[in-house]
Amino acid sequence: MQLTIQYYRNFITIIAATFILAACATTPPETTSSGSSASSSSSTASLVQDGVYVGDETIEMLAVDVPDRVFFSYDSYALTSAAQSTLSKQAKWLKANPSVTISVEGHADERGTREYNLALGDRRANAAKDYLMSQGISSNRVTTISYGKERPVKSGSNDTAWAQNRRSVTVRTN
Amino acid sequence: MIKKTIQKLLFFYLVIITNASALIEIDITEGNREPLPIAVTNFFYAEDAIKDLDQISIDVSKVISADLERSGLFKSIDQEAFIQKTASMHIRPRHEDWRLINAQALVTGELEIDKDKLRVEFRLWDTFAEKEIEALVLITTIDNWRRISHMIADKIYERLTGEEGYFDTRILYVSENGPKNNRIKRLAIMDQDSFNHRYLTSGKELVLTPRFNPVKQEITYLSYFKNLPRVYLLDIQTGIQEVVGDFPGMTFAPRFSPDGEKIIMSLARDGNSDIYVMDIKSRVVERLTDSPAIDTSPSYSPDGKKITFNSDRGGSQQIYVMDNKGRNQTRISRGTGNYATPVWSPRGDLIAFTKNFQGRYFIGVMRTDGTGERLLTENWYQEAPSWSSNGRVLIFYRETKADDTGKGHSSSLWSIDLTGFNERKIETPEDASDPSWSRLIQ
Amino acid sequence: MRSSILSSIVLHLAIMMMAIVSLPIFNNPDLEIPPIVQVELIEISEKTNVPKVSKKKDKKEEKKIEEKEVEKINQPVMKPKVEKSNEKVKDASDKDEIVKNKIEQKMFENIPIKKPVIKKKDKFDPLKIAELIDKSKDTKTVEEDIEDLEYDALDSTPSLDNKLTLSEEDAIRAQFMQCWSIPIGIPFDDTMIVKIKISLNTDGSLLEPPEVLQHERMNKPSEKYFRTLAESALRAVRRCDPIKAPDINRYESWKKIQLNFDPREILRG
Repeated sequence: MQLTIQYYRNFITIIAATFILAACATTPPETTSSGSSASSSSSTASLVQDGVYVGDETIEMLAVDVPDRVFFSYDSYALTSAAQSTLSKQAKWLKANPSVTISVEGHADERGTREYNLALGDRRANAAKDYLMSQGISSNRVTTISYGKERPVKSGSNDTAWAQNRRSVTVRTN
Repeated sequence: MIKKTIQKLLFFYLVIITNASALIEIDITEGNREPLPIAVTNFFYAEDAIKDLDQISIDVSKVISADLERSGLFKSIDQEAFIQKTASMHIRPRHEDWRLINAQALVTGELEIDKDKLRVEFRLWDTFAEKEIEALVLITTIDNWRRISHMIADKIYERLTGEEGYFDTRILYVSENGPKNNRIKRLAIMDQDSFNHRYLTSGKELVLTPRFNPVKQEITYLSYFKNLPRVYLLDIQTGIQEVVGDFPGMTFAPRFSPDGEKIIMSLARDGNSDIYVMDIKSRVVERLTDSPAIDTSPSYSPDGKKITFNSDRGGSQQIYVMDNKGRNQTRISRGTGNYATPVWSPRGDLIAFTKNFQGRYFIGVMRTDGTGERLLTENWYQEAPSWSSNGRVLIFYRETKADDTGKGHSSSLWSIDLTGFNERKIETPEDASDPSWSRLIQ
Repeated sequence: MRSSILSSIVLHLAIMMMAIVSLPIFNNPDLEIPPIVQVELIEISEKTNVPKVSKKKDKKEEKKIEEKEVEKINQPVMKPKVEKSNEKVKDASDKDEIVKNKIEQKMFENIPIKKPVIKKKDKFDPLKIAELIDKSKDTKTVEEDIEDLEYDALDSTPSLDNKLTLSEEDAIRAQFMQCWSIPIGIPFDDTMIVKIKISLNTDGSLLEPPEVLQHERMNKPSEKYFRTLAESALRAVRRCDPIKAPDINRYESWKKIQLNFDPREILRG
């Protein structure tokens, strides 16, 4: 009997110790994931920062140094500073080529209901269009279309693929 | 004096005791939840029939059995076990024989060819009460025997469960194939038991979210025809398609009003989605919501007086209810998580929905004031519930998680009872999504 | 002697009052013992059954079955049924006679032993009562305790009034639960409870056909859910026939039983 009590006491101590250690262990990774990504060992995870894709794997060029797409975080249509700089380049290119008309395609990842994602894609396309207009591009040169989650660029079901799918893509229509 | 009082009390006590002992009451609040055992016999026919009815006789009984079993409320007894096998049982079953194999109900029938038409007579028997409780004669063209069987199954279901059947119904859905990043999608329609399958569109255009008109052979859906996502109407019988209205942006998430006269849908304009309703005949359009948020997935109550929809106006997607003029918009979902695709039950008392909580997807139901939330099924991804005509079963679609290369992804239709039991995969030739379940065929 | 009887009576009354005041079952209107209304017993088969007598099948005579043309697309709406022909009533009355004869015969076989209602006061244990009173002092206890009290109280009664013991009641209940296929398609409704009176022979078999006390409701066309429920309960009663008979010495107490088939908790979901 005494032995068992002893055993339990040890056991409890071990568990308590584990918890204390665990508490130390869990917090730091959270800070690293949102902080500097350079130290992170996994290269794929580092391509998504604050939910936004920062790599260049799927990006195509409208012209030299004019990327065709910007990325969004989950369930958001806010333009990051990187997205704004991309769109500024597109605006510059559009100004230099006044005959070009474009369509902005809004997309969502596979999580979220189909109908909601259609609306979300429309929001993203229009966020990009609005930014282009703020840079002096006439609205009659820009149409928008939402594909919701119907046309993912990546087929995987993982954070990086989703981040690459949450995008608006500028496509030449002439 | 005291003696008298005691006598009185004694009398009182006696009265109570005798009363109590006169009739014992026993409350039975639980039962055997096993499906009801039912014997569905092959329908009889005269040997000298002009046309050979052998196969139809077997098939009718098979379709009825399968319908009943699929409901989860019945267990069809193996015909091998049947003791009475003579034609006479259609008139006079030996109930003791059927009780012996544990059948609580018995279905008998007779087929006859009458002037090139098939005459189907069926009877439903309560083997314990030893009486016939339902009988019906149906006459149809011979190749329509499948529908007759569903109608008989509906009659049996209704008589034994107390609620309307849902077997003489169809499922409209989106058939999918091809890689995930280049899916070919076609509208398809089939009987509730996956038979009589056919495609309604070619797959050239992307099509989404089809819905049945509750009163006509007509459907509405979203098509990307000419890269302009718009709501379309399609007459199933004539095959005539037309775009619904002339809107300055994407129209999507269409549904019919209960009388089939109106289409309610979302219009996305400059990044903002609101709910509109259009009268199909007069083409008069009314705007029902006006918020900077995403308002979509509208659904009418069965009396047409109210509309439920989902909106992220409060910061996250939640379910709201308003009247049919867009007034009194109130949020009804209260739990944690995101709520979407609310669909009003044909009985009127419940709203089915999709819920996303901690990365998992649930199909659930709640009362129309948002209370009594019950989650029926949880999975990696599933959404878009649609009610059976009697409000007992929900059909929805479920997707499986892909690996990093996109392999392992699939999409299929499932059904589940309101009780959260009887979850079943619905067979389709290819992958499937966006189901819509018809009312009983008129 | 006299004083012990007196104290016994007083204590009994005290328990009765306590029970009435504190036990939840006495406050529940559903569990009130309803007066037994004499309802005319009509076999449902009288109304809906096909004649049992085998006849040459003549289709033209079978008016009870409606006919209708089913076109490929335009399906008919179910029409109300045609009234049944008279011959069936005759058949049924024949059957009734048979049933009556059978009942008389059986009654003869089972001459019930009349027993005094109150007896064996000596078995009564005042100490136990004292215990119960003690318990009842802390009635603010949790529900479980109250239940215990209830069980104790009931357990001590059978010797007094010839009632079924709880375990005998449970045994009967368990049998009917097993026999009853609940029609779980019925929508929830607080009035969905079927009360059936059964009369049993000493061997536990049905002495006469079971009787649904809410007979009128069952036959209302608007009450198809209730009808389905009542029919399922009737099937359960017949499926369980004969039940395993409780102690034959207490036959008087169980020869008539009211079964309350109550699926409400289940239907509520």
